[in-house]
Amino acid sequence: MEEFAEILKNIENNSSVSSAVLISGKPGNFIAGADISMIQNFKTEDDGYKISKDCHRILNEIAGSKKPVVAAIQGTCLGGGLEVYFLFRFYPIITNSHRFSLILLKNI
Amino acid sequence: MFLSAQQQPLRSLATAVEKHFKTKIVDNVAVVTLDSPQVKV
Repeated sequence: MEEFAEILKNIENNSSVSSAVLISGKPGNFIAGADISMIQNFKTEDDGYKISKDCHRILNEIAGSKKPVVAAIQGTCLGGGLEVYFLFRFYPIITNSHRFSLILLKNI
Repeated sequence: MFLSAQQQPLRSLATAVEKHFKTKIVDNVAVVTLDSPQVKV
């Protein structure tokens, strides 16, 4: 996510770029969700909280982009991928071969 | 997509480490491709 935030900052600062499109390099998939192994490696609740907070900060930066950013969604869009879709809710490009899913967990 | 003579790698937009994304400019549009290595999806 930090990498994309850095790319977005560079896009905003580059006068030769008028807009941006985010696409997936994986055929049939846009974003399949968070890396579960990363989540499993959390040692404390704070580890998870920090990652979640950082992700939301970056998503807010994307939402506040001064240049139009479009998401081209082709294929599976799960979990965090759906959060990205909501981010681009005014500018998504969705093909016929899409699948959306979001699993919400209750803290027990 | 028609690729103009402006198609070029986004060297000026390259971050210090580009692990998950590849960027290039096509007709003044930054095309940011998410393609994490060693991941099928």
